[in-house]
Amino acid sequence: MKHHTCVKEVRLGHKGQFTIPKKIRDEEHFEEDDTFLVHHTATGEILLRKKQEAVPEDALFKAIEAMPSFNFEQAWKEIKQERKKNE
Amino acid sequence: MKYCADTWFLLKLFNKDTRAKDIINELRYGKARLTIPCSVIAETVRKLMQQGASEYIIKTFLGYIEPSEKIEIIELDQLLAVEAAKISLAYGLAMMDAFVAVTCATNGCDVLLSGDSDYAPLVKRKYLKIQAW
Repeated sequence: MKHHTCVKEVRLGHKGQFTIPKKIRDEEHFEEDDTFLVHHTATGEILLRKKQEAVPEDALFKAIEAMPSFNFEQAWKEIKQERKKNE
Repeated sequence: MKYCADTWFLLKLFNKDTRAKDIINELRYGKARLTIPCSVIAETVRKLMQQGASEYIIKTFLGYIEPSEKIEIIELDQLLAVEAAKISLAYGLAMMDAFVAVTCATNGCDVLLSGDSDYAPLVKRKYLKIQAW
């Protein structure tokens, strides 16, 4: 299940780089060349937030591409059957 | 152009249909507007989840369709409910179909994006127009 608190240990490289654990990358759909905002809070915490798509349609199209293939005709047929069943 | 979306259209969109994507681009670049009945959202999300949509996909979809200048979400109210009941009885429509049709007609939509042939009697009576492909 997503959105639980997760703590992972990472090591900082000599150029100041570290790897976001794969599990988190997968869950959050982080991809190469994604841009992030790094928040340094007054209490010393570092928060990493993915920069949102500037245009909401871009995010939608990205989600559509991530949708597993399905049989549209079958899915629509099932919906019609469900609508009729509820009559 | 003011569109009203049936679940048919949203499923087409998530099936990577080019024409459905073109309509979203009409919203993005043009003056087109999209009305979505709340019940259509529920039906679509349920079906997408059945088809294996991840939480990310659902969250992004719901984030996109948040009410905005371009997208209007219509909730069922008493007037719509009564009108839908009348239409359902008059044309022998399933209640869900009737909710969608009434939402389209009462919100001044130009066309209903649906490939559902059950709306044919309403189209014949010029209650609404359908756009399908």
